Amino acid sequence: MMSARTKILRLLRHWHARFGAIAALFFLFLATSGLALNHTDILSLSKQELNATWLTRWYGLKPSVPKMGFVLEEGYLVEADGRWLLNGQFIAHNSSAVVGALTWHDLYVVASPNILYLYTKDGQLVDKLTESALPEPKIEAIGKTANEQQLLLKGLQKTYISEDGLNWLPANASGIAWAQAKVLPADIAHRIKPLLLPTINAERVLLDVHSGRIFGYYGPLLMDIVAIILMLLSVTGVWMYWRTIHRSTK
Amino acid sequence: MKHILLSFSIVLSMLATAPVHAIQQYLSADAFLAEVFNGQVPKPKLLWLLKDNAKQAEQILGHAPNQIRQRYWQQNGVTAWVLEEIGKEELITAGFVVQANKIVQVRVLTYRESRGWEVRHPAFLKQFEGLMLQPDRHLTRQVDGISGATLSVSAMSRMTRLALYLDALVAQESQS
Repeated sequence: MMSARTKILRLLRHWHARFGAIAALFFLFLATSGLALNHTDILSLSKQELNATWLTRWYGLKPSVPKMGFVLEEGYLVEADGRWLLNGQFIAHNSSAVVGALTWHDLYVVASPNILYLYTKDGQLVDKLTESALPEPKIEAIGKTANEQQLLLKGLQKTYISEDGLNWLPANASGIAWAQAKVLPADIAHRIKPLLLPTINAERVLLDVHSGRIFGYYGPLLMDIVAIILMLLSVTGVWMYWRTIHRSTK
Repeated sequence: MKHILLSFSIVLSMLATAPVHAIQQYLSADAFLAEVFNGQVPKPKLLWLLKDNAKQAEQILGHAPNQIRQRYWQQNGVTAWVLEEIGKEELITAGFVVQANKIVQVRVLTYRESRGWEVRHPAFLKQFEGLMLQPDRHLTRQVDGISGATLSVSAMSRMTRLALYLDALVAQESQS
């Protein structure tokens, strides 16, 4: 005849094993994803952009192809979701809105509300002019003179002219054709569409999978249950171990 | 002992300051330059990073330089540089002052990362003072790290090496 204590211990062992087997899968997964997150830099997870259609659909991301953009000599500049696309090449991420873009000498000049960027024709950044390199802290528009030699900048107070993009002098503001966004020609819109498919960062996805957030509202709750099971398993495991030791010393 | 004191002071600073999770401009580039040149900021000069120089800069940074034209300010043998480098995901803007091939001062101007902002503390930045560039383009002394800010510390070290390299280029150009 088994004593009540032995019955409890057997029952506990039985359920401990069952829960352990079910939870083992989660633990393995959590440990693996946790390890990967711990070494996100070595694995370059933050630099990997995933664009699988099912994944972006799962996150509710939709392609956003802008209708407007800056048509430049030998190219275009389009701004979409904080990314700047210059002739099929992303030249900036997490950037501000584009105030104006134009071709000037051998350079492309792109203006955000407070920075003037100079790019080579192949999209290499030449210089980034801010603060005292600009005649005014806010840029309203950029343009160039009729002979295309001088660069023009419209601030909140005045209009300025420069021959080198560094030294600025006040200028007469009349009759200037400022660089403005225009409706993109159909061929450019068609070309940029596949480039602007939404992407999601691999680190973000792994974080969401690790925390359960990828499964929406109930995901973290599921992970909470797994965490509680782990706690229970730890307690019952220690208790059973202690009982075994205690019995063997008797 | 020096290292222990440095770590201790950084930890103290960390405890005393609330973490920052947004773009933080501690000092504008203009204010930094005004501070360096006592309000008499000279006109900026231009240094182009092309061909071999660009390759050397790439070796220092581990990637192509962010921009191929670098502005700098020079007066009485002192050069000042405002450089940018990505820590983990965002750019850190920092100001560097070089004199006689040595770092005189380093300041973090804008910090955009969510973690690692401790690199802005003077206790950390002080260890850059007096650093020089070795022939292999590494610093003459290793910079002590900060836990949780490894990538930002590394970015600061790379920018320091670049500032020293650029200063050496300017010196070379003025000699030739």
